[in-house]
Amino acid sequence: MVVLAILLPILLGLLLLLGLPRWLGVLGAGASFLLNLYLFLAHPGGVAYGVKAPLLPGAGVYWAFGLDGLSALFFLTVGLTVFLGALVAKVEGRFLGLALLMEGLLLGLFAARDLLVFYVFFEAALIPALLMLYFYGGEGRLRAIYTFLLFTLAGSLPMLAAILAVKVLGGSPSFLLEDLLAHPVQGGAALWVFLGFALAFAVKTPLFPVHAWLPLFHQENHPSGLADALGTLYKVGVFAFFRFAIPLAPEGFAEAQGLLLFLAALGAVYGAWVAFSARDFKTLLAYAGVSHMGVAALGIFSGTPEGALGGLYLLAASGVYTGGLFLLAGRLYERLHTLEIGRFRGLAASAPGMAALALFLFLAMVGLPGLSGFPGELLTLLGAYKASPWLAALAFFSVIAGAAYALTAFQRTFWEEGPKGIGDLEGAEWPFAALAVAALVLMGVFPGFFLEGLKPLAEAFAQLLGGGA
Amino acid sequence: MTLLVLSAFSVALTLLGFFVSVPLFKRLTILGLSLGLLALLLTWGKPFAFGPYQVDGISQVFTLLALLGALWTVGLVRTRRFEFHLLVLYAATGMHLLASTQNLVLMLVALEALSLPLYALATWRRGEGLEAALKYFLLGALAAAFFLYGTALHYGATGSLLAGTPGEGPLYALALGLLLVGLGFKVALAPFHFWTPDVYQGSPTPVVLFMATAVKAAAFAALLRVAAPGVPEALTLLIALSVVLGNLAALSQKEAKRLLAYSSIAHAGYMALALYTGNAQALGFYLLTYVLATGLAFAVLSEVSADRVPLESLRGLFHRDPLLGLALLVAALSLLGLPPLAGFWGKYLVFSEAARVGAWGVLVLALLTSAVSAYYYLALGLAPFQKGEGQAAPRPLARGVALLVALLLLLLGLFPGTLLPALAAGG
Amino acid sequence: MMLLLTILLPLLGFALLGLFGKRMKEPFPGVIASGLVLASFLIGVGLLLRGESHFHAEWLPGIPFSLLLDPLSGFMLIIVTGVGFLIHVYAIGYMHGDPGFSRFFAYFNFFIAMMLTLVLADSYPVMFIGWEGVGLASFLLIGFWYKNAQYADSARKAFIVNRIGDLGFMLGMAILWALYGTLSISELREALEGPLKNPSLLALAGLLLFLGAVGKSAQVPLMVWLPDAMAGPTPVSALIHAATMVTAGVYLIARSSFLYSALPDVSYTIAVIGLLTAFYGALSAFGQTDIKKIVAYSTISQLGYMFLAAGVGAYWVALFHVFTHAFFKALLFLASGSVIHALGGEQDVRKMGGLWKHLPATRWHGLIGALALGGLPLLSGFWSKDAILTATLTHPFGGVGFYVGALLVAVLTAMYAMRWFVLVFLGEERGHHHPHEAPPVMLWPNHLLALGSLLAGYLALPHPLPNLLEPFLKPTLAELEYHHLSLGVEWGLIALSGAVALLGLWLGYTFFQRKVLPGWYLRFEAWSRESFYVDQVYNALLVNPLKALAEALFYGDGGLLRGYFGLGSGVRQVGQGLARLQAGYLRVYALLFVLGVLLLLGVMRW
Repeated sequence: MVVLAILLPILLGLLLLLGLPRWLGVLGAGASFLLNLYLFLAHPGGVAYGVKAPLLPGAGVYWAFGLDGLSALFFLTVGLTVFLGALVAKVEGRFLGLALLMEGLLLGLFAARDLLVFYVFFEAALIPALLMLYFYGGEGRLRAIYTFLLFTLAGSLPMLAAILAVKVLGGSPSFLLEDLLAHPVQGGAALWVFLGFALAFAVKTPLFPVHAWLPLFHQENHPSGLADALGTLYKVGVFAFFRFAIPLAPEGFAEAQGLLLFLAALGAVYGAWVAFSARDFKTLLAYAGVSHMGVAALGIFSGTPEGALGGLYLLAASGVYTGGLFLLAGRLYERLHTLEIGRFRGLAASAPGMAALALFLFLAMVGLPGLSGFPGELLTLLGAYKASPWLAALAFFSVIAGAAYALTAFQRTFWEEGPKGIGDLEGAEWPFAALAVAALVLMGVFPGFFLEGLKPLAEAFAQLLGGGA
Repeated sequence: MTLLVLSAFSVALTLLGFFVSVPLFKRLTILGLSLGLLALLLTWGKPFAFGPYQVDGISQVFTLLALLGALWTVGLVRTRRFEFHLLVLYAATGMHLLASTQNLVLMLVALEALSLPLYALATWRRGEGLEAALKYFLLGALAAAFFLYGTALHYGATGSLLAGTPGEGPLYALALGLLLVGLGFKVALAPFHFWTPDVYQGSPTPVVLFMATAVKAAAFAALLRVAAPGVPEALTLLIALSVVLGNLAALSQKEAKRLLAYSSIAHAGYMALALYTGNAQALGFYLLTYVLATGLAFAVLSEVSADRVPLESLRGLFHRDPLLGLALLVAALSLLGLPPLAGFWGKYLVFSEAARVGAWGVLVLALLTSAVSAYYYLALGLAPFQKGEGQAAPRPLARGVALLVALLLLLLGLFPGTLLPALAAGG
Repeated sequence: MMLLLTILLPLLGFALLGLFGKRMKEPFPGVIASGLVLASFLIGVGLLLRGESHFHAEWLPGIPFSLLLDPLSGFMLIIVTGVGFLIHVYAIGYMHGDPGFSRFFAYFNFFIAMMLTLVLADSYPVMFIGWEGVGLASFLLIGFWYKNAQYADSARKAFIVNRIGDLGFMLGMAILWALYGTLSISELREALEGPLKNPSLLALAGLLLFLGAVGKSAQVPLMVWLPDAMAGPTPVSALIHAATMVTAGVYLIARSSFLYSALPDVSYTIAVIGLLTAFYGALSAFGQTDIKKIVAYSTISQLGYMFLAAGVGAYWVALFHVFTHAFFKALLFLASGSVIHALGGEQDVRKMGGLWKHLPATRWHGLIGALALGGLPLLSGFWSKDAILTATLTHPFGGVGFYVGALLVAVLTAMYAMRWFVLVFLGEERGHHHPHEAPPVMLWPNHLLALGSLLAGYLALPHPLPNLLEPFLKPTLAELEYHHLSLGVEWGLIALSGAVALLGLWLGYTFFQRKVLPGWYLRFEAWSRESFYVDQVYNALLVNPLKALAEALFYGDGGLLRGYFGLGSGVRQVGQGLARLQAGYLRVYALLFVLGVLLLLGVMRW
């Protein structure tokens, strides 16, 4: 089942690249979403739907996939966000194909139960991301591509050394997660191994100060927001810290914890603050992303069960709301031909539906209780405070700055008096809006339901670090 | 068997060359190489020895790679003179011999047997090519001298001419070091790489393909045998220099072949990582992916021009011929080692060898510089997609091969396990 | 489940009106919204009569969604839904003809739902849902006429300033969580009985929670948003920014009384902040020219009173004032609304005057409201204000200083209340309007509110007269030992405060009837009109520097990227240098080759 869920979008994406009509892609994205939804709802707990086949015999590498509660949650949000994108982004079939391809690779990344297979998907997802940027990006895309690629690889290639070291130094017989967990790296090497992972995942979180690629990446991507939504989902650093880097070298993490907490907290405030000065939606959302991921990372780095739950939930939720906002910005672009904030104002009068949708998304982003951003934020705070009261306080200054940038952007776009009106939501945008709002509300009102499968993982995580509940 | 086929064809074709037309001659050469391959595959996994000529796993794997490179070269070249094919055939014979012996003297002979045709091939284009070839020749002689000296010292230290004989003492170490120099020159490890950029740039593209693939394969087979007991410090130095110099110097290159020349230096460095443990399987797989990828890149370039190929001239290639453009991208990404392409697994295998012996410093250096390499591989891989007037007149066969190889790179990337056991014969 | 229904009904109204309101004809949205609030009210009262009730559901790990209806929350529920219902009805008339009619009621219902969540919550995070929810409702309603950029700015300002307080709330929760592992209010209450674990940290938690209250209830120094919040339609000001939402801070302190009663220092701070706010609000009210802003500043001042009461430990007294204030302040706002309505949107008191003749019903509303605010003996405001004054002397965290301060504020309050009344209703007509009295749908709620303003104070009369409220609320509040004053002293003080109020009213009445005001007053008025330049100071010292820093960081971030580019081109340059070794000279190559060999041999282990 998991393999099917991963292969479905990949194959569909390839077919779309070969010229399948676009509407089939939309249909496929819907089917993929439904399949993922089913996998999530029917998830029995533990590691479900596992498959394992040798990939490199002798070297202990396996095509091993399986869904635990965490993967299942991300399957759901990734499937949803991509489907949302497929619904409204008016892009050609090939673009959608790349997006679906990337979706499949991301699903593989989330489902991988083998470190090397995770790495393969982690890196492979880079390719469609680059191609989307290259073929559909803006004027300065080459610069963005090089920046993105070099940042990513400068992190991920040294990680390969860490991956090898985990197995060799830990003495595990294979790269399977359970084997590796049974043989964590110990002693002085643990720090280096951890740092090897940390750099790669910090770039992909993105943590301050290696976030610098992100604004450029978003600015240059296609205005429809589809590539940006996928890019948002690709920010898997927080997940990877939780799943791999920290459990595989807990001793190393313990040594680096202080620095990481500091960077995460700093990034949280910094991103929110800088976002306030952003002139266009994509820059704004990019920095907002830096801020949110700083908060999420803070939760993970706290090493507490609440913090880990909060960080992961924030990551999952932010995929949907940030992705949704990018797509919404794309809808605005199509009507106004600009992403500049405040160029056109007063759009709420002519497009109340769109204004309402934007407000929902923005409020979810700034962590309004009852919407999807809040549970993660609160749990993160509760956990982070235990780890470091001062840094938690510092990081959460972002809730003030967040309200400032989000509401300012909202006001300058939808409120005040504007020179012209635009069409309200139409056609596929209605189901898009309905689905997005439903997701935001459900994730905000019933977080317990979504977090059920994560709880044992977070407990085990904290136990590993000596925290425990 | 293989040796028999190859040498028989070499002799026969030397005589025939004056009587048959060039196209027919080309076909005959291909036939000879193919038969050699066939013979190789028929005896796959079965060791065979005849005096110092020993066919074992290493020999088979690396001969296979060398012959593939040779075949590709012959298939690709457009020439009106039969000598080209003949020289390739000679060289292939020499390569097979180099890969199939432990005897240092025979190794030297084989080395010369494969080098001399290469010197000649390097001069195929007069002018710039001639000068480059001359440098190649002179430096090659210097390297051969070191190799010879190393052989002598080896004999002095161990009383044996067989590579891999265990020994100790400064004399032995010196011997190994000098042998390393001699072979390191052939695979273009820094700082013995100086011929590479000039020769790659000056030679016809198919010749470069040959040098980059077949020669490397054969020389690495010899290195495996020579360095197997290990001179780790020297190896570390060579690797470190190669990956740094190769990758950094490639950054500012504007000409595709020169760029790939530096890339080949860097790759020689990566491959040498497998020498720490002498794991033929890992090295073999790496070489396979490298041969396929770099071969593919040169094959595409040679469809653009047999002469210099500035990166600008690649622009627009994708729009003229999507297949070639994509093939170049696939080749570049595989060389970069991005999964799911085959190059990744090659990298993974050799790197894990270095990890096994705990050579973390050089491993991280190799990985860091390979991150740097993303810059120029992307420049190469994306060039065909930019706006411009890409010139290419590809032949259907070349396109077919390009497609095949590109797919192979992808399939090997997805299912590396299918081929790997077959390469284990020598491990 | 029934308890949840009180929240769900108005929420349903929000959903219905938000989705389909546009297709409904006036006044249906208003009727639906009012009906739902009334239903909530009835359910709430019904449940309260049956005793306590609970609701419990899974929400977050370790943090259930729990609601509790006890006398304290029931008391607030009655205020919220009761006064809320009246203002809903009023708004049907007030918002008549507005293109956003249904949207208005959707927001209004949303507000009620969130306010109920706030008061019914039995855990801090659940309270925080309501806390932020009412903040959002306030944002949407202040910016209801969003086309006006200034209004939109006001809405945003309210939300952001509130967020500062909310940060305090969140951090306070974090501390409590770290100390006790629970955020349930009932559980914390039990956990806090007995010796405190970590008093100083707990005090910090108390202060941080209070920071939340400071934001929500517009106390010094976060009071700047409330006057601007008058940008919203008048019913909004009445419901949210007078009667209910802004008192949430007081409610928070009362709800957490088990915490604050154990923290004398924090309580003292609360009382000081309250008194300061009371002064600030009263003084600022004098200079205002906008009819609603005068009332807004009086709200700030009255909220200060409530915090003063809560700070000294007289929690039920604070709630008593919340109750009476809800009536007379809602009345004042709605009367102002009727005036504005009558004058076709005019809000400047300098262009009013002489409306006594024209508004036969509203003039009485205004008079009752102003007198109740001014503390005319026997009206509701008098009783609750007097209870506060007494409490400053009797309760453990109080003191004579507080008493004197509060008394002074009482004089000021009476004066500016009369100023408001005199400028609006008396004197000559200064505008060129043709005032018309409001329709019955607006008058009837005011009649009821006026009645409340007259009588609400009789719920808790001073000793030895009957006091119904204190015993009702007592079980839910922390018990603090306080000494009773002797009867003579107590009634003496009552007489004093009554006299003071009368004096203030009289002074105000005569002073503001004058044609020419003395010079010192005009100078004071100029300062007061600008609210003592607090906004300007904040802008200069905080807002603008922060904005500038944001700009600087924005460019700095670009610089960071350029730094990385620089690193990249540095690497490239090194590469270029290395490539230059490839000079093409054979002798160089040979030399390097041999050097290489020597190097190689050099590193080997011999």
